[in-house]
Amino acid sequence: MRRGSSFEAPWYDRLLGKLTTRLARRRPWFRWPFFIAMAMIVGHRVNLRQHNLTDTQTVPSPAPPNQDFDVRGMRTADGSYNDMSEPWMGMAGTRFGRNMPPEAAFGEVPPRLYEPSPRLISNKLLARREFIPVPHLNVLAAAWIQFMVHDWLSHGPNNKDEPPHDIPLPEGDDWPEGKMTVLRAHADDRNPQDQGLPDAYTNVETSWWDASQIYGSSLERQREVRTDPTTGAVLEDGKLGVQANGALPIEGKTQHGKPSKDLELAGVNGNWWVGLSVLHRLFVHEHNAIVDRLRIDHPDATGEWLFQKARLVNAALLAKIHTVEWTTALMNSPEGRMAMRGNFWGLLGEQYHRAFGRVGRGEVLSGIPGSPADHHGAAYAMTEEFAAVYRLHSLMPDEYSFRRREDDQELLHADLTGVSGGEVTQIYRQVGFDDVVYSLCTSHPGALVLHNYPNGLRRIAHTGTKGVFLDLAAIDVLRDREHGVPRYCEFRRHIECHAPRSFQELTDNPHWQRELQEVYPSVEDVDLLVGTLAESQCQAHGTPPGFGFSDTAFRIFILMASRRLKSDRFFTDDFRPEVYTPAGFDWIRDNSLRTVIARHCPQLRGHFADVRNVFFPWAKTGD
Amino acid sequence: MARRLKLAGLIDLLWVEQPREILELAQDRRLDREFLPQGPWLNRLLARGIRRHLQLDGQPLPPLAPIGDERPNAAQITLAQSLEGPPCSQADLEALAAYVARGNTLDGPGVLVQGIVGRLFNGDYRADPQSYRDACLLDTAARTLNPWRQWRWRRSGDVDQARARLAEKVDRDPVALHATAIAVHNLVAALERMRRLAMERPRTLAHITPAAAASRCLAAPGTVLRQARTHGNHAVGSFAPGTLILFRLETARARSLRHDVAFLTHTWSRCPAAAWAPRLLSEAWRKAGKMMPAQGG
Ligand code: HEM
Ligand code: HEM
Repeated sequence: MRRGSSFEAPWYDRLLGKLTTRLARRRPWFRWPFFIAMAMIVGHRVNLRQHNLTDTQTVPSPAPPNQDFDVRGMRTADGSYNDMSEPWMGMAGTRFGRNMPPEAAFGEVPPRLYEPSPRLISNKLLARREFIPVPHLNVLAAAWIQFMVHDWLSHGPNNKDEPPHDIPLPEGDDWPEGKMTVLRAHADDRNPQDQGLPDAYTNVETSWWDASQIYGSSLERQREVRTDPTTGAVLEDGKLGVQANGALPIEGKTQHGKPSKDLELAGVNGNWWVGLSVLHRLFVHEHNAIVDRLRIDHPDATGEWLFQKARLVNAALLAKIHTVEWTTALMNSPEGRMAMRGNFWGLLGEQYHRAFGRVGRGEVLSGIPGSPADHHGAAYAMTEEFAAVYRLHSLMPDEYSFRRREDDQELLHADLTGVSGGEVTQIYRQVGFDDVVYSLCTSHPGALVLHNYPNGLRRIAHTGTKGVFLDLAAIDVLRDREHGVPRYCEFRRHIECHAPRSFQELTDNPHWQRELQEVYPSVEDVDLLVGTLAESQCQAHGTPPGFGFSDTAFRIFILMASRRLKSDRFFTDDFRPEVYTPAGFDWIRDNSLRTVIARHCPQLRGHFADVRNVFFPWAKTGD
Repeated sequence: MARRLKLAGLIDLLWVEQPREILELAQDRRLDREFLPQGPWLNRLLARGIRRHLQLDGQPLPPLAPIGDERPNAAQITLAQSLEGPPCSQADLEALAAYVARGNTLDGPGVLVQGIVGRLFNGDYRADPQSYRDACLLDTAARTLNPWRQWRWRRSGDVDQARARLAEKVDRDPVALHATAIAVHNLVAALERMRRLAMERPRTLAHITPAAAASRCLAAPGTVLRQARTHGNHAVGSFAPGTLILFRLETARARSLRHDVAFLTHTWSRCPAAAWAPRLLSEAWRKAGKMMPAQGG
């Protein structure tokens, strides 16, 4: 077991880290001039790599046999053998790591676990009163991040063997049956080596950025998505299964085997809604297009080989889109754009990279892809804190209007339930795929602020159990406490962010200050999720200008976004044409979400031709 | 990461602080605790100092004893078994809790803790400021690398007298002597940390669970020593007969929070108090939490 502080950065990095700590004490990075701010972002990353990576895998799982599979040149289904010397690393079923020191990571227990009641917080601070949109983004941006989360992580099913949590209901609450029970999180079995340590939880997906949301995290699931829905046989040409009309195959049940009428099939199809369906369909077709391209250069290659190489390329394309398109749309400031594009292309930028290739092997000038792999002292894994700051449910609108691309006339209006699960298939029966994409890309996601949590997610009908509902807002709060993710102030202290000493320091909004005070005994008790939403209106220490999410979350992103690339052999040492094939390598370089949508929905080109970023709202017909 | 201090003929020390490396080396039979006068000059001096201070009637105290033929040995097993019940009496627990909750002792918890540890072996054990000072002196003498101080202690006989007084209190039982003179300091450090933690912020006692508090506050010995018996290599460095390897155990514990690092639980030298000490700390925290008046907003 290793921890970040065992990692020794080079002296110049440490110096930058120390300077950053000093400057950050005076004011946060975004309140310094551009060049200092950029240096501080790098400095924060040095410090985070040094202090905020804790590996929890006390007893590494035995590596599965690799059965003649070319682990050097292809991604295994379960994520093993990415690191050849520690093949278990990042594999499905390994533990979540931590971005907090272990002493700050003990799960809360009652009474603190239920104080203040998560349901009270849901009602008083989170419930959406009226929809607050993000005017500069489209709904695909919300779907995209969930699509990525499904690639990186899932805690899997909750614990049915122990009595559930009984969440205290505030007086006068209209919750059905007057009782709110929530299944407990499923902690991993403890080993003797875990004595003294907080509980750990396992990631049921691979932690790698390997498109496992499309391909699954097991060989079994991979076979399912490679099956032709018409014949029921695994496709021999290396392609993914689609219906004759181009739609995803129908699975008709959840991944945990519960019947779910009309539910589409995907590597991960949990919490399914129309936005996810669109992205899955686009990238299933993208996979098939890559296979066609590779077959031109490799006419004799087997379908298996074409499948695996296309997967490598598709996964890298997703990583590129996320890094240079999605994050820059969400962090819409010069520093945000530079930091994230820099992760991929380096400070020298894309044009330089295209013209001259890499300069040396370092990550700063020419970006992480192609630089040497480095775990910075702790085995690579997704972390609890990362999952926590990605609980971005407020991005989801409650109302969806499906309109015809030709004249923007409404064809269908639906609430959240109406666009979720198997209902998606019903939507496609009434609205064409292009019109669905057009509609989502001309609508806005919700802002990450207080009082904007979709009410549709505050009362979700439980699949398969009639009359049982979930309040996801309350669950979000409860899970962080249960997983031992520190509350807001303590969390900030561990990542070199100013911890507010009062509600007035947490947010500039006087109404919110009052409401927070009514719910929480002190600012120290404010939950992480609530704090990150409240800081959206705090000039001194809160959300950086132009950012769609909090500075608190950003700190975890600058650490983990680069780590997802830097730890992965296929983005570092083996990010080369010999492994990806020359055509595959060029595919990654030359494509983007813009080209993907243009390829699979050519009719829609005109709607995004003039937008700087495809995650920005598209032109409506008639505008 | 390991640190090395090697000057041919003069000194050869190897410090190790990575949990994983420590756990590996603690199992490595090429390293032992015989502390023979071997190796460069300062190494011999240090080995001799340890043997001189941490012995009773010519026999090394248990944590200085070599591996021997059988591990865990009878003494380890017997002690671990005898520590299985409640960690201490109710009165002692209340006194500990009062210290954690209110800090109401003038000179820290040293005498109190020494008394509690002593009573594990001798129900009538009474610690006092003198006995605790003796324990501090013996511990310092065993840890110091300063040859000048070692020489002064040898001349004055202070350390020998302190040891003799402490041994008398436990019927010259070497296990009990080690517990009341050396092991006691880890517990004192842990309780002082608990006290500080309880004061850190309002309602900390209610917010942090006993198990979490015990883990956060546990204190491992600063360094634990091994002496190389043969020539050998390890990822942390090479060694020769007489090389002293210093496990920086507290650094490694703080970094990993693992109890098996703090107590070397899964190695031949496992501490018999590995379950007892965290239990005592948890109980003290729990009780302290109950002593705090209920606090509202
Ligand atoms: C229809 C839309 C969505 C539904 C129905 C949904 C539902 C859920 C449910 C039921 C959970 C598990 C709660 C538990 O811990 O028991 C969950 C977790 C989560 N959701 Fe969503 N969600 C949706 C959209 C999103 C979006 C847009 C994001 C954006 C990033 C997101 C991010 C997450 C994350 C990070 C978790 C924690 C996952 C884990 O730790 O295993 N979700 N969601
Ligand atoms: C926080 C409290 C304590 C910690 C962290 C601790 C830690 C340790 C460690 C690391 C060792 C191994 C030393 C080595 O390998 O050289 C050890 C050995 C030992 N400890 Fe403890 N100890 C604690 C308290 C106690 C107490 C209270 C007792 C007695 C009641 C005790 C009895 C022993 C004995 C007898 C050994 C020798 C084991 C052997 O034969 O090798 N310890 N302890």
